[in-house]
Amino acid sequence: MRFILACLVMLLAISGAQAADATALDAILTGLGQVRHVEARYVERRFLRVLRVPLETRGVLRFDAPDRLEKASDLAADGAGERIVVAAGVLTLERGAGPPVVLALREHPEIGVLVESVRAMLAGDGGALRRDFAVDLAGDLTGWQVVLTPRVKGLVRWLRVDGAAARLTRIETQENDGDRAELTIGEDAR
Amino acid sequence: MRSRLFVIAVWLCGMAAAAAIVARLGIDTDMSAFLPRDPAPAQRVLVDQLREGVVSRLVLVAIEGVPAAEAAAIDRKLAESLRGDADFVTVENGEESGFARDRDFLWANRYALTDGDFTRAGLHAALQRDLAALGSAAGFLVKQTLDADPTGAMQHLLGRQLGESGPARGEGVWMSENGRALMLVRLLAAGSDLDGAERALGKIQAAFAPGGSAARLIVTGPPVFAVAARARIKSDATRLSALASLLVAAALLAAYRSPRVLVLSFVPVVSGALAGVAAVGLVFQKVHGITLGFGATLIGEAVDYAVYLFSQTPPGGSPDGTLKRIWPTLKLGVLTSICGFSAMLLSRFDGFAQLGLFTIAGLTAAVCVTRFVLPCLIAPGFAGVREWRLPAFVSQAPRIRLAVPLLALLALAVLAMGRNAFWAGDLSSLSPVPPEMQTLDRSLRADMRAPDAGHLVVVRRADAETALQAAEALAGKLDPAIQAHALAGLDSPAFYLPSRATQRARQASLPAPAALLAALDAALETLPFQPDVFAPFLAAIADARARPPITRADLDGTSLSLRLDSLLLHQAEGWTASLPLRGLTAPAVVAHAIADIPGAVLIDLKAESDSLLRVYLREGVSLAALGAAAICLLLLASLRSLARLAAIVTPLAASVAVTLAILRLGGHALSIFNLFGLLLVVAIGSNYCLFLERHRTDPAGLPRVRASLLLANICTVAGFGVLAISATPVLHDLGLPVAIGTCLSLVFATLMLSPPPSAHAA
Repeated sequence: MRFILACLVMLLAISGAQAADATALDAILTGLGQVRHVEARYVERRFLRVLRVPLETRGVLRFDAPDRLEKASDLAADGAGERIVVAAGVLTLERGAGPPVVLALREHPEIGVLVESVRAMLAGDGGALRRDFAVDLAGDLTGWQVVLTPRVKGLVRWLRVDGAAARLTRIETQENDGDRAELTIGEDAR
Repeated sequence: MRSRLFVIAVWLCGMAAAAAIVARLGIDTDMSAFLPRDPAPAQRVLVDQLREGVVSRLVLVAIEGVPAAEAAAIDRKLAESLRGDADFVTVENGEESGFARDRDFLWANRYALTDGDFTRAGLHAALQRDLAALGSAAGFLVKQTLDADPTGAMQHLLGRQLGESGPARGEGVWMSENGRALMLVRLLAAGSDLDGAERALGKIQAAFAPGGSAARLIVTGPPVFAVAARARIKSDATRLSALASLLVAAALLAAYRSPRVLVLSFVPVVSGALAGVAAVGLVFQKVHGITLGFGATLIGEAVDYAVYLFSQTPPGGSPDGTLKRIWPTLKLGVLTSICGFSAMLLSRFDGFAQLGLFTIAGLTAAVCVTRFVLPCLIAPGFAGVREWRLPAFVSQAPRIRLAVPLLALLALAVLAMGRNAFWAGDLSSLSPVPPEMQTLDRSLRADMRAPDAGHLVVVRRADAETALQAAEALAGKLDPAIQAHALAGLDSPAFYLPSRATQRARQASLPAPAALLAALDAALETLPFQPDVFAPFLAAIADARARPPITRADLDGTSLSLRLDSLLLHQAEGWTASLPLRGLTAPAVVAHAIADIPGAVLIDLKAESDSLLRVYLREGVSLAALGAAAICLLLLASLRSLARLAAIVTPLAASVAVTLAILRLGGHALSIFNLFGLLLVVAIGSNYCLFLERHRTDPAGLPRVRASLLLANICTVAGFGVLAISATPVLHDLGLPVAIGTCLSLVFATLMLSPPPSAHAA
């Protein structure tokens, strides 16, 4: 089913090859929006000012349309893994044996921006995306780059989301303090 | 004539003396009068918490009935206007600004408030944790304070603060799932300061500005209940006792058709009440508000004395003649009541003992006034009272006398078969808070995720410093129990104000700048941190080494100050530190862990309050039994006949049993006030039985006696029946059994103690 839908999106995209940016973005988002469930492995590299070397973590990213996002890191050597779940605007962070940290994203817009960008892309929610970010698109449907600049100043200066057709491949986050993160998303793990 | 004036003069002098004592008497509302004289530490803490504790000052506020955004805006405005007011210690509604001062205090004093390991190994371990955290989703949080607090002191402090998951949030404030904007207000007024609480609550109502919207303000919590209960009891008592007095007056007026006699009927009661208060004042130096309220009801029996005197005086007869006739019976009746109430004098609760003394002194004064003063006041113009004709079937009553034991047996069967708890074992059953208010409070509490007060560890010391040291020692002992999941966590006054000794020790453990730098550099050797990142940390430690110790004054203006004050109570006997426990699953483990600390006690507040109630009940029941035994002995001694004793006790016992059965069939567990009511049934009912028993063999005066008893009973049922319609448990529980029980006593006594119809006809 997903395959057929992806083909359909491709056909649609090819037929309107010279469409304006907005239309192209909508095409990408429509494609993404057709995918109801994503489960893929990721590698995250964080480049922090205070560190001489990047930090690397790996794990699984899961998405269920329209608003459940989960990022579960693999267990580290010391057994400490973490799982972060965002559902219906509430973020739950589980680490080790302690009680989970629960945050309402409305209350923490700086985290909200980080989460909402990824969620809105995966859900194909153009309205939410344009409300929170200035959106720039480059490339075409087979390989696109969307740069999101938050409308409200916070932790994040900009995010760049790369993708191919109805799949996200890489998310780069540039923070205002100079720290940076790269999240590379693999093929669907299922 | 001279003797008349003399009696009246003595009476007036007595009343004046009593009034003088009463005028100087302080009315005491301290709950500790209703604590045993030798309270267990746990009971002491319970009462302290009720009077002064943080719970007693907590008010929950909600705004509902409008969309969430609008409710939040009203909530914010309300909070803002309350924050400037000195009557409110803290006003929290989830806005970050509300915590800013707390955060500043904790941040500035983080190294005085926590232990730290600043050795090479300790720093290395902390930095490794930081590294792991930086790679995690929470990395952005750690990053913000990493350079000034790599050991995570602040995070530790905040974690301790946020042990309980706070309320849900929305629209920038605390917001329940169903769109109620919430607020938590702590009053300056302690639970014992009802006037202060009333003033503060009025300010909340006044500051609520719905701006023409449909928004509703809900205010609940212990201060609200206490103020509402006081207002309700006051208004109920005033309203209902006015109504009761009116009904009694109407009955008496209908019977006597003389306003003068009506007024005189109240003379014994009023004299008795005054004498009762004065007696309590002389013995206890003060009188409790509850004694005053109940005592007046308990001597309601005194109205009957005047009724017996006036109703049994035929037209043309003199009161003196009547008194000569009824005095032996009246005297025995009063002695019976005094006997019944005297058991209360033995109570370990000052409050009960006061009630007992009040009743005894009051009844004695009332009967003396009836015996000696009333005849002087009515003579010589008193014309007596017309005879009432009671329906003829009353004379046939003895034909169905067997109904009494049968009913009593039926009642006993009902009592034996009852399945639900016989006595209300829950302190809330005594609560004057109406159930709908309790339900609202529970729902708001659930919204707030505010736990009910559960378990505490308390320890008392001579001064604040040693109490704090004991609290610190306790927290240390309980740490393994937390690791072992015997409890989830705890709060302690020393979390906000560590003892001087601990502060000094912590300060001494902070390394000098050069040593710290060396340890840090060594710790960083194998870690990928950039050089010089931690300069703010080095500065913070240098600052902490030079800081003067934290004192109570440093906490002023933070919400932590109230937390400290509620956990560290100063009393005449010393300082008590309380450590509330969260999520306790293994009380035995905790009890064992604290065993080494002298004087430390683990307290289950709910169990403690219920056990206090059980102590009340147990004592109430055993005192009532003792009183009943004393009454039987007295009657036996004065009647000198087991058969006559049985004749009097049977209808009384039957009416108590049937009253109990009726209350049980009503589905309610019995309260201690029901018990007081039954005591009163025995006191009043015994008079009926004594009068009827005396006329068993002397039918001549019987119709008049019956009429006087009926009038007395009408007055009692009117007075107490009115109390039974009150929604205040105290008044309702007292009024209902008295109204039912005295009526039954009269009916049963008439059935059992009337002369056989044939004898009467003869």
